[in-house]
Amino acid sequence: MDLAPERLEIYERLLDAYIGQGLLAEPDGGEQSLPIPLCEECRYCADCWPPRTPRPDNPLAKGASLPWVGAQFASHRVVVVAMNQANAGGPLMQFDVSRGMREKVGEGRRSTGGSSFGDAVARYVASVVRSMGGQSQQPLPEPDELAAAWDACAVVEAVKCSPASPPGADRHRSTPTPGMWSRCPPFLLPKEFEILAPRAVIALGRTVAFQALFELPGVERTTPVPGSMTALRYVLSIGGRQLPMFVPYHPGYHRWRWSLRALRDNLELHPIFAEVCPEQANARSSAAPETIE
Amino acid sequence: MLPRRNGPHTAIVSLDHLHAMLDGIMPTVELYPASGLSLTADYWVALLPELDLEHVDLGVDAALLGLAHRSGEAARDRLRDGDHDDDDLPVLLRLWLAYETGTVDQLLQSAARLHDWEYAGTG
Repeated sequence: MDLAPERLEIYERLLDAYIGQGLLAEPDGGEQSLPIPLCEECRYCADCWPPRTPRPDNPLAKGASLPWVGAQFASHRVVVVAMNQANAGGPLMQFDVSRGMREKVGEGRRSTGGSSFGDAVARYVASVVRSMGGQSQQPLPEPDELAAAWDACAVVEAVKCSPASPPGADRHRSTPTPGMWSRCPPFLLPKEFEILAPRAVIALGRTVAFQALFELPGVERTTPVPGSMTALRYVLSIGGRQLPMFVPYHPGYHRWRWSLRALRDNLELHPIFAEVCPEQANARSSAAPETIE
Repeated sequence: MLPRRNGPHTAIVSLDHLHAMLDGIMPTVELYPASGLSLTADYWVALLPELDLEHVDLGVDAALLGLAHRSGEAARDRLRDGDHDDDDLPVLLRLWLAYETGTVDQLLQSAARLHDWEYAGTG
């Protein structure tokens, strides 16, 4: 099924939201909107960027990234909450990175340039998509299913910018300032959630990012569902609508596969099929033959 | 040498690898002088085959900018009408998003290649 029109509409609404929040600004007399440098023009830049905080060198890296929205997202609506790219940004950064990772996992590669992010996200999402469809977690997904997992999800950045890494650093990790952690999630995530209308949320890593989700207006953590220490599970209530939320280890943590195993076990024991597709679950149960005792 | 703790499990993608990830969503932009005879005394054509779109202008930059100006609407129309092959969809979406976020001129510039001409060696 070609979901291009739905994907286009989602992106149009996201672009409108970014323009509405002033992240894309129309220059005088211009037709195209241009990304603003967040560290200089975002409404919260004074709080987020204390003096002497290193700014990114590349001017293209200073703009907010639009979420990745996969080709089949409209029929699955799994939203992955992640972080911004360290030392890289710009409106299409998340799109390019996610799309590139989708291609690599589809080719059967477990890492992309030394990063296992694409593989880990695909496996987390594939587990949730299977559970949504009432399917077993076995056998393990093949590359085609992993690429389809990237198509089924959207990736949003809880925080849109972070200081540049120190010069000469051999590793670049996104390390937002306290101001960014507190200001950014309530600034954009509620609108992004409203547009994306998730059926399930995967928050990567037990950082402040997932705590921030619970503090968003209109979001409540209703009931903790039996999970495990390595893959937490909650029920989120967004605008009165309940949906499952999972908090596995961040793919940057070397034990993320422990988390994946725990997530699969948890979904096998407590599938989310009935939670996210109640109509189909009812139809399936009413169509099932009655057992005679 | 001890293995790095986060070596194979890092979540970080280097910019070098990012460029490699753009394979498959980079449009093709062909540039050539209209008469095909001279690189210096001619109108320039910038052609975007994915959209069947071309723009002719007095210089390379003008031809590219004109093409960039028209490419956003053309890509959006194709996407809305479903008038495209599935293989072209990522390129069209990337083009349209680049237009809407003010980065399409950079995209087309980096995708532009001189068409049907060979660069002379310096030696």
